[in-house]
Amino acid sequence: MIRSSNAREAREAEFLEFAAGRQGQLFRSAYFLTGGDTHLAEDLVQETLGRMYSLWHRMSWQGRARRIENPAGYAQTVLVRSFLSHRRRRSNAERPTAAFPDLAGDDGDATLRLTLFDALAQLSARDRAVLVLRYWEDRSVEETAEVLRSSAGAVRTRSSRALTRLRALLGSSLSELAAL
Amino acid sequence: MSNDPQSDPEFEDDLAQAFARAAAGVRTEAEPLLSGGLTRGRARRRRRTTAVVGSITALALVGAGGAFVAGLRAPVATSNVLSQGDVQKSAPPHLDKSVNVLLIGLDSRKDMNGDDLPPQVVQDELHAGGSSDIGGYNADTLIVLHIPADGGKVTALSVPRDDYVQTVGADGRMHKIKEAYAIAKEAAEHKLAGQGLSKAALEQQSRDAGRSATIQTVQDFLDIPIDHFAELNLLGFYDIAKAVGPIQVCLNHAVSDPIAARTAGREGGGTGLELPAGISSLNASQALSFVRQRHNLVNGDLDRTHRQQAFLASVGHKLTQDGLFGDLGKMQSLLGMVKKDVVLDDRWNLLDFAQQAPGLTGDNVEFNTLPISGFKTIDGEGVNTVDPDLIKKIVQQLFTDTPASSTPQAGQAAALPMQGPPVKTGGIPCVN
Repeated sequence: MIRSSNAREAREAEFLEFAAGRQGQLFRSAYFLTGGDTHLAEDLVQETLGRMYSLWHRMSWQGRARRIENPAGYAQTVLVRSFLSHRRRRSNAERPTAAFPDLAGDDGDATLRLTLFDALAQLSARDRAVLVLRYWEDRSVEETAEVLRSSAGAVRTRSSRALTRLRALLGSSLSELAAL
Repeated sequence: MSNDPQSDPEFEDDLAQAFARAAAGVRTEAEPLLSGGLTRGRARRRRRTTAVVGSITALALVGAGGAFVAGLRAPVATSNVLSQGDVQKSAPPHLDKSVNVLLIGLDSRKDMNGDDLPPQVVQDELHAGGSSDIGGYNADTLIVLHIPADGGKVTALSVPRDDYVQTVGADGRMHKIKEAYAIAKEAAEHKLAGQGLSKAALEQQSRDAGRSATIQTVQDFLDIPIDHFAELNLLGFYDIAKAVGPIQVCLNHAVSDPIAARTAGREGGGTGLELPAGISSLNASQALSFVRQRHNLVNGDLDRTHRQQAFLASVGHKLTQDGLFGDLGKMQSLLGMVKKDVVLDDRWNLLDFAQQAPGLTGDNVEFNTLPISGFKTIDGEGVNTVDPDLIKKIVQQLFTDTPASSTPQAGQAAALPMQGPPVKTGGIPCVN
């Protein structure tokens, strides 16, 4: 077994550890962002990890100045931005949400998930991103604005509209399901 | 929360809860996500940085400059694979106190010619670093350094990478000798998977299996014990060639190896190397091409082996000329470049080794290449056929340390049927 790793391998190992630790959370975010499209979600996570890998090595080469303060948070940001730019590149229709990942949980959770995704899928990509950042990742309006390269005001407006839309779509089903 | 008049904190809470519950059941499979991410990351990085391609031969710097490593005691990655039962058990006995060092140049690509694989695959496989999701770890350079007990002339012996031999410690079958590493590594990876190892640990342990199989196979093929090994990863070459500075090499003939694009019906190839006959001075990327080229050469891959030897001899010569071996500061800065790319066995006391092998630092090394019997196509792959008994006999004669006075015929190796003429250090040897 290799005892002392050389610098490159150490960075590599460090990245692998980071990626292994983050992939689950990234996937869940991607899953919501895409409105339940597991294939696209997987694609986005891979893209995000790829970008992080590249940054990881770049920052190591160029010294501490480039070191990312909070790589976990930054990866989430990269994910959302990748998602939105992906949407811009291919503004095609939603892909069907046929394939769900290996889902544990009882029927209540499954129904909740379906209901939630049904509604989310009817929002615009950017609206979904705002809701995912605010209510899944629990980011502040300011943080959300930074991720989206937008202003706090714009985020507030969009967030409010998206919530209204979602509430209209879901009716009372969300609170009923959440209460199960 | 929002100050929007229409805000509905209760709905916001419900939404947050719904997200949490919907997420709770989502289990991911890490492997495809990670390997896909690495694949893209490496492709990305490759685009960003100089495309580093080529064989790893500069590992022999460790040998050629074995001594200089010693005084520095720099932390170098080590592996305990030589202390493990398999390698020791299968090692033929030592007939004297000589030392054999195996230099393993690892090229992660299945094919030496990067152009004939899809770019993304090449980019991925190029990276010999710590990942286990990539197959095809080929030991493209295998050089045995034989250091006699009496401090006499050091002999370096290249084993052509396509020699078709009985592997040991891999799957027990016949393969190209370069493939033992990858076969054993992959098998180990399968075995270790699911043991909850970290990705890095899995990589390290499975690579140790690759090392073990490579060492055992060489021991068996040549019938000699391997006492130490050094493994250099792919990306190291460029760094080293850069650190050493322009290297002079000598060609017997002018060479033109244009880059041929890969098309649907034809393999790509070529390194883009254009050099006149005679002595040329190479920068790092030319150096890479010099040791990589295998097309547009009379003897193809075998000429490439000689290129590698000649390059190493030239590097050794330059380092000697530059007075590196007497200059601690220079050694240290060069070592800084080398050590991050190299893995040594953990039994190797380099201080002792340096004293034991003064011949390594001087212009006193002769490179030979084991002969092949012919070419054959097996399972669609071109291999070198070899005569194992003949190989063992040759190695035994070559490595039998006769005191300089006892036999009149000094040039022992010259009398042995080697693949091409020997390449000698102490100058700039000319090759094809």
